[in-house]
Amino acid sequence: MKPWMKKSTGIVLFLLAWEIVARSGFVPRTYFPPVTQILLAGRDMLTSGELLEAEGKTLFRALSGLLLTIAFGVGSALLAARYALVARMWAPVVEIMRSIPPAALVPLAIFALGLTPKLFIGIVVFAGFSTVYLTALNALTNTEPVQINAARTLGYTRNEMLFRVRLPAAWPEIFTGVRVAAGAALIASIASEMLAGKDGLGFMLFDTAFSMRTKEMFAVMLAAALNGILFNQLVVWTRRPLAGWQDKLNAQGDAR
Amino acid sequence: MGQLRSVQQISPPPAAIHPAEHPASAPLLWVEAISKSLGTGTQITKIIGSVSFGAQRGEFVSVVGPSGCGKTTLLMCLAGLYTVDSGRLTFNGKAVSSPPEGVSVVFQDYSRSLLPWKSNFDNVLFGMKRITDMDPAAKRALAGDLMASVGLKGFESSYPWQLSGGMQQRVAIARGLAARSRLLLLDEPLAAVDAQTRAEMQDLLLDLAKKYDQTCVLVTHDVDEAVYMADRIVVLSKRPTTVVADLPVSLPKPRDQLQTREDPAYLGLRHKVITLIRSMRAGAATQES
Amino acid sequence: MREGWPGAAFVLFLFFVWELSARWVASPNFPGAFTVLSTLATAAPTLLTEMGITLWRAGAGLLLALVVMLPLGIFIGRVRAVGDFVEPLFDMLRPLPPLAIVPVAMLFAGVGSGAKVLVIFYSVSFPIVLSTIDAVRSAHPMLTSVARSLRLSRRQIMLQIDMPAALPQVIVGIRIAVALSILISISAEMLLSTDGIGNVIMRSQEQFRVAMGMAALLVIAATALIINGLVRWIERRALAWHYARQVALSGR
Repeated sequence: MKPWMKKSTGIVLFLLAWEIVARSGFVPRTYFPPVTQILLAGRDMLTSGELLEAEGKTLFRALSGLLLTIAFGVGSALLAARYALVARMWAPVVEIMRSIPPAALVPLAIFALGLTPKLFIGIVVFAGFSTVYLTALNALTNTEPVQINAARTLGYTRNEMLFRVRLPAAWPEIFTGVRVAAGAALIASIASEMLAGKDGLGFMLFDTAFSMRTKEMFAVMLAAALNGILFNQLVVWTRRPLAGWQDKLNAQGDAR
Repeated sequence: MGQLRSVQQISPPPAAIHPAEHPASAPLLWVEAISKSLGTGTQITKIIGSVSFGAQRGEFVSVVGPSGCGKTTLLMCLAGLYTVDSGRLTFNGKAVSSPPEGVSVVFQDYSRSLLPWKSNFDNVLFGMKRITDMDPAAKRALAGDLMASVGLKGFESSYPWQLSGGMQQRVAIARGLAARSRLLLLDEPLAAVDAQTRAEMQDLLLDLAKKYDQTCVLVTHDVDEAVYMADRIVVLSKRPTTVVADLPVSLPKPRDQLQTREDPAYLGLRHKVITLIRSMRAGAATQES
Repeated sequence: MREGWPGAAFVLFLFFVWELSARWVASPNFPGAFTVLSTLATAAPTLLTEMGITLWRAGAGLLLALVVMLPLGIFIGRVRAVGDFVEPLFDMLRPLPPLAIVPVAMLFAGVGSGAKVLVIFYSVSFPIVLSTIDAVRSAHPMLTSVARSLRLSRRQIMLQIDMPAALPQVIVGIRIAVALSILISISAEMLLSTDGIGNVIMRSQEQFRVAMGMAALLVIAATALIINGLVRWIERRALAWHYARQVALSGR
């Protein structure tokens, strides 16, 4: 069976089940519209352009926020991995950042920043930073001791080891953090849009829900999910040059 | 053989060469009464009690002892990865406080010591950090030569984890040699390699040591291997480790897997070392109780 | 305590900066550290009660997710066939931001605790199952070969090799999940405002009581810090062997 066929079987069955249940009359139509109607509503929103506009806004905020998050997160982690004092100094602040839900900051941030792109991107960065930083710091500090010893005997300085041994070795683990942060970035983008009530997919979700336009609501959810897929695929593509070797290594172990 | 006295009472090894006696041929590696404890806080264990021996230029020294006797800790000290608590450790006339230039280490865990995101060739290049007098092209040429020397010509662009254990260890050896080492420290390099490949690798190591004029210190638990490869054998005691015996090996070189291993001198030495190690296990048992 | 001083010093430093900049700006919309702390002191009972409500919902959702997703994750990670079939479904659902479920949950379950616990359960499932699958898959390839050579049954492999080997990475996933459960709980309360600390923040914003909102944020931060500290403590106990191995191998 070709890989893509395998993948679609699950989804197709799921959609089929939905369609049947929706049309069977067991569940009220308003709450559980059939798949076909959802898709039609989605198509209408696409042609009117409102869906793409909202998507564009949400994606842009999440993406630029995530890139900034990775840059700041990995950068800070490198510094903290190199200087233990820095790590200790930042630890409580990072913990506090991690414990505050980005959504909880939105009201405050609107006060401070207004309904600007800075607001949304800022919330996104806040949402993902601690995850990336902590994962990266953990990965960088837990490098395989034998590798460190080998590099030491070969004459590499601590700084060189950080960039030439620890960081390359850490990418696979860092990317597990990035995957989580990507999810957080999209959540933060949509959540802030829900709360700020200006535009974007988040706003559209609540808008359609409150006005009982469930078909449109599910269509927007579908769009949000597709956005998420696109987003994750971007992360996967970025992961390959940096951490692809780990997958091949594992495949080797399974093959033997 | 009779009851062996408690190991601490054995007098210093007679075969050890004191630098003052032969200044012209000062040993490349000189270890004098080093000790090392590991652990923190309340959990400090003295691993090495007092170890002394030397390695002359071009010598192949094997270090054996009962399991858990701190062989690896000793090697880490020699490599400069640990700092010794007391005693003197000199390489090429200078005290060792951090990994010195000219010393390469081949670790037991080859799969983790090689960098998995680099190809075999790049791993060998990675070893050339300290080389400042070669341009990139010359370095690449050297890496190629080394890979051919260890018998891995053609595997340059594949990755370490695509190779078998013995082959990975060969990459690690090539990397060690790439660093223009003079002293090769080997931490049970063949322990994780299958038995058949082990014999090949032993001969390969001896050839490489000769070809590249390496002084070698091989830490191993395998007495046969220790005797087969060495010009001298250092036998360690249980923890806290001391040197129980420092025995010269008079077998001719080059060694041969069949002939050497049937040589009566080989068998006699092997017998002696195994008995020593066995008695230490028995001796230690009475000490503990 | 000796270890914590750089962190404590840095936090105090930030408090000072906050107080000083508030005094410099001198606006009612920017209360300083001391103002907020006194608001916190007076409103403490209310704030703590509301926080408690938020917490029990988070806990319920988390527990549910753990019970369902841990075994599922190992199963999916180990058995190729199941993974191939189920993972596309996960891939389809995973990218959907969990909070996007809130409107749906609202339609089906109203605005009460049930809807919120549902959202929390859904949201928290993903990091747990994701890290478990990742952990099972990134186990050193040697372990798979060893398991095969020992001819262990699927269930034995899962219990004796996969779970302990996967534990460090899975616990990272659980740690993330704990924090996420509280986060989603609060966010859901902000969207479906009935009670809980999230509701307090929304009401404070509506009534322009900035200091109250900030005080609520401090309560959230403090609670989460305590809970995360607890998780860390448990983690340290459970993974003592893993850390000991790291220390032994690097021999400092």
